[in-house]
Amino acid sequence: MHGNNDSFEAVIGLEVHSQLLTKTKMFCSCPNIFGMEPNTAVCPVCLALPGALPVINIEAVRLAVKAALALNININKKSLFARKNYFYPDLPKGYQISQYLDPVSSNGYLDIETEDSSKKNKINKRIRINRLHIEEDAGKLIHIGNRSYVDLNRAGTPLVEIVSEPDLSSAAEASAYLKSLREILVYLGVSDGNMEEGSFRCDANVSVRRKGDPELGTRAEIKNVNSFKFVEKAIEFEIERQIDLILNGGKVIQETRLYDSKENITRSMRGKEEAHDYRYFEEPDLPPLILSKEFINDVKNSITELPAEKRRRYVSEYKLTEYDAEVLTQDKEIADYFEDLIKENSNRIDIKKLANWVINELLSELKLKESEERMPLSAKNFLELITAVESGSINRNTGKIVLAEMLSSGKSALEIIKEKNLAQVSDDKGIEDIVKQVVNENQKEFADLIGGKDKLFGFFVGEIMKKTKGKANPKKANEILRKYIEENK
Amino acid sequence: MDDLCRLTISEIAGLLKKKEVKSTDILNSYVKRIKAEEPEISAYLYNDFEEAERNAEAADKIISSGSDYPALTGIPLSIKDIFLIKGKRTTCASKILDNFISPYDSTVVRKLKENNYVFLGKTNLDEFAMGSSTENSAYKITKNPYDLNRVPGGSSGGSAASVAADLCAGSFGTDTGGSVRQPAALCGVVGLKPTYGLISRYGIIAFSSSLDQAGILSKDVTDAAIMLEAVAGFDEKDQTTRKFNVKKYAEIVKKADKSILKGLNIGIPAEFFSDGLDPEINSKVSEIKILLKDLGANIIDISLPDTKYSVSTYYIIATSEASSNLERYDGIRYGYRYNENDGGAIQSLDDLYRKSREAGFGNEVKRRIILGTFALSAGYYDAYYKKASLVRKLIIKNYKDAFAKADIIIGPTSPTPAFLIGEKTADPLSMYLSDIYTISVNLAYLPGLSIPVGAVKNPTKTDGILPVGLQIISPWTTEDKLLSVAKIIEDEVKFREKIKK
Amino acid sequence: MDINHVMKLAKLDLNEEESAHFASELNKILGYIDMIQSADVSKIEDIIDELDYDRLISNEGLNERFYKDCRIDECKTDDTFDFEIVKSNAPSFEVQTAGSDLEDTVTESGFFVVPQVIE
Ligand SMILES: [Mg+2]
Ligand SMILES: [Zn+2]
Repeated sequence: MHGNNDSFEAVIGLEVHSQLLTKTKMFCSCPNIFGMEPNTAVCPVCLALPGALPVINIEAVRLAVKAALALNININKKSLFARKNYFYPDLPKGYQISQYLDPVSSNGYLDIETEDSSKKNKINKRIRINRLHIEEDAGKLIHIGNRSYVDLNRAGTPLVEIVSEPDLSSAAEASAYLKSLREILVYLGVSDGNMEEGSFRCDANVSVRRKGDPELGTRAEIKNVNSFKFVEKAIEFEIERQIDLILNGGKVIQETRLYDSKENITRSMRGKEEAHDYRYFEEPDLPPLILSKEFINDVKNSITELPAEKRRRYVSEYKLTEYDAEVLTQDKEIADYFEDLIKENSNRIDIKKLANWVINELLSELKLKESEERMPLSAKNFLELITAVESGSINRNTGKIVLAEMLSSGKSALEIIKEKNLAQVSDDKGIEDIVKQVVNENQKEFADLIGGKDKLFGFFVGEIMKKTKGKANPKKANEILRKYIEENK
Repeated sequence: MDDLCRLTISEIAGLLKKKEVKSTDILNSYVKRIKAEEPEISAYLYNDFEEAERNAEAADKIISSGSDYPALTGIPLSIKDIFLIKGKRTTCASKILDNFISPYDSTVVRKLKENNYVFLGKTNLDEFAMGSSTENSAYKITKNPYDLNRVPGGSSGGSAASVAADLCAGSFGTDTGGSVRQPAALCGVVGLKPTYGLISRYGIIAFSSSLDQAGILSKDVTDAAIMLEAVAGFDEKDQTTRKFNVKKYAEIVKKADKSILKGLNIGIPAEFFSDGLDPEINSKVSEIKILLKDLGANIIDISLPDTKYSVSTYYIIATSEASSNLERYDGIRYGYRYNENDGGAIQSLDDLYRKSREAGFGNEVKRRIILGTFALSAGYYDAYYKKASLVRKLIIKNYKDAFAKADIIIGPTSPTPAFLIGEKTADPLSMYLSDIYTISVNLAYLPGLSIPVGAVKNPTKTDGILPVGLQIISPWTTEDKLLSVAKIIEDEVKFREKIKK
Repeated sequence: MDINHVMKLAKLDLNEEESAHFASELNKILGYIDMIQSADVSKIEDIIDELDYDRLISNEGLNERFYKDCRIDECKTDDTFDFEIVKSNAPSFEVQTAGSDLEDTVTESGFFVVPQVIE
């Protein structure tokens, strides 16, 4: 950062495009799936054959309304689809059906956690959202040599576009906003939030101005940013570029810039810009989208607890630490799993302990295995294992081994414990027999122990564990050995 | 049996039912007539007699195996070359779709196939249905069967001529601003444009989405009802169709009785009888007025005060939507792509687009694309497209007010009878004005029907006559009423019996 | 009308003589069309919804209509649709044979090809 930067402030607005998790496309009944052979998920509508017509996917509308409600955005009872006209090979109709004129929802906000100017204290900041609207995605182009290859599988898949007001003032805030937004959409099952595959994409409008200046500076739009890390870097670079430009007597021009992650710079897209005039007008092939109160209420009722609320509840209701609550709620699947454990917890194991099992054992084991399946263990099976350890029927280390075995073989905890004969020897008679056996085999050492060589106590415990292949309950073994010593003194 | 091709659909269906003729016999009669007359008329872009033969044989099997089969079974029909039929060439009379084979069926054609119809061929039209004379076809000019020097009207001119010249039993066309009713009037046949949304637009090449509607050209009103019933109704592939209660139009028309005219309020809009109207047509319409009054109807004067804006409004909305609808003809997935053998190298993607579209589209299409693009462009949108959308509401309001007083509205279909080929081609505006009475019906989503009510003398042909059409307009979704009134007028006028071509 | 600008937007490419001819025709048409500027639409502003197509043709509440006419989220194919015809219509289509081990399920997918998209 340069010396004079402190006299500037950045003004950032984000436009997020997020694919919706529907079975079919926005306006036709083709599958909405990633990764099919090129041009196999296509039909007359998404190929834009002559005579084909769009028909609204009600599920896409439902998901959009769900997202909007979660983001505190007003649902507009009547909204319109419009055509945005431009020619490009990935846009077969020559227009994109979007909701430019009257969006399905407008005027909302998202609260994010950020730092104050001293960067020491966390504060909450409200980022206003201008609108959330429904639109369709374009196809894909692959450029090889001087030819381009058009694949229309993605053409017509449903998106929501979420446009923030320019309320963000740093790259870190932008990133916090984006993460929070993504978290909500994934939580609601609206989007898979995958930035790498492009199902969650972000364009950033960035401008700078001297602090206190009421006027907004000229903004540049940064496109093509496909990870959270890059969003932050791209915005940081762009802020610095604009400040440098102004300090050197230059002027920021309104343009679209592409982020180049290899060189960590943004680059002008000049030339592609000429004469954009999208000639928006109401889509005459579709009726206005009219949402009834009942429809909106149905969607409202389907919204489950959002991550921020969940975190608060975990701390207050389950008495978990902020950190534990954070880890458990990061992912809806993990949170759901954790709550399943609590629900099935008939042995009343301490919730804090359950949390530790998930965080310290299960998640780290899953990470180690890079498991494809997110939660391969049923809550019931996992509880069986936890109960076995917490009740002392196997020890903690054995528990870890059993867990690994459960994940790889799919067998239940009890099956594995039985099969491998891993259960601890906890009964007094069994351990007494072993103690006697060990004493018999080491009579000299035992005499020394009785004679006052206390250090040999550990030796005997070790021998007992060896004999039982670690299955003896160490606490029990200690107790019985001590008793035996007393008796033989 | 040569006269079989002169029969109406209901007449043919009667003979088929009584097993007095076979569908193949009917077809043979048409094939013979087409071979003799088509070279003069040029109604068709192509015929497909092999397909027709297969269809007729299949229909005969169905007819012989039972008495319960759909109404159009074994009936030879022609289809405007704007409807997609899987595996068949569909050009929309444009060079840009010269080699286009339909990869799927339009809903109308799917229903016709389910009706066991016989496909005779694709009829000529103005390119992308843009025109009122069928002179804008990239392939041929269709002639009016009443006078080969005159136009059949348009854009469904091929369909109208094919029905008028007995080259088919009936035809499906499309009507965006009068493209079924005006050629029906000029060729002396019945032309029906239903309420917007009654017939699915899926698989019909779009001109102007909010105005386009499939329409019917038939020899009489009964046939129009039969054909409408076969194809009307909600389609899950077209969200502008509605779950209307599709009525039994054929039965309703059969039962239509003069008594329904008693006390019926028939509105005569003053604006439809202004300066541009041919005085002879005016007097033909007046005869009908008197006839209806004699049958007990109340003839009332009404006003559609904003009719004067209808042509302007129409040309802004239709061309704006068309400019967007025709963006898909980009030379990438189908249709004509400029190639370097056609002269000059392609420098860029922009070049590919511009050269392909430039060479593929005809002049009238380009004119309309430019007009529509302009009307939507930054700085002009408010004054043109947006204003026109509001004026459209004004026109709808006119009709709503009118239907508060009148049960039905009548007037001329076209201001003039069939004009000479080439007469209006140099002046696009004069061509546009030939749709002045039909356009507002599309703007207001209303059903309208043109029925031949007589003829005037042909000024350029000794002993020649030119048919005159009466337009009937009824409220939204009241095709039953529209067809019934038309049937009563038809029975009184007896145009088919009186006029020998 | 700036006809060259409009032609750029519409991706048309007329030579100078043609575009001059078009411009004069279009100006004449615009001269006529401009009459709508004088239309008084102030009176319909309050009743604009009543004049919607849906209200005109339907006595039902619009809410019910919306539910009925939208599409439910189910994969479906148009029975009459044939992608082989799409391929043969394409000015340039490059097939890539992709398939499973089972011979009868091998499908030929591929790309529409455009020359020189990147400028
Ligand atoms: Mg967008
Ligand atoms: Zn599709």
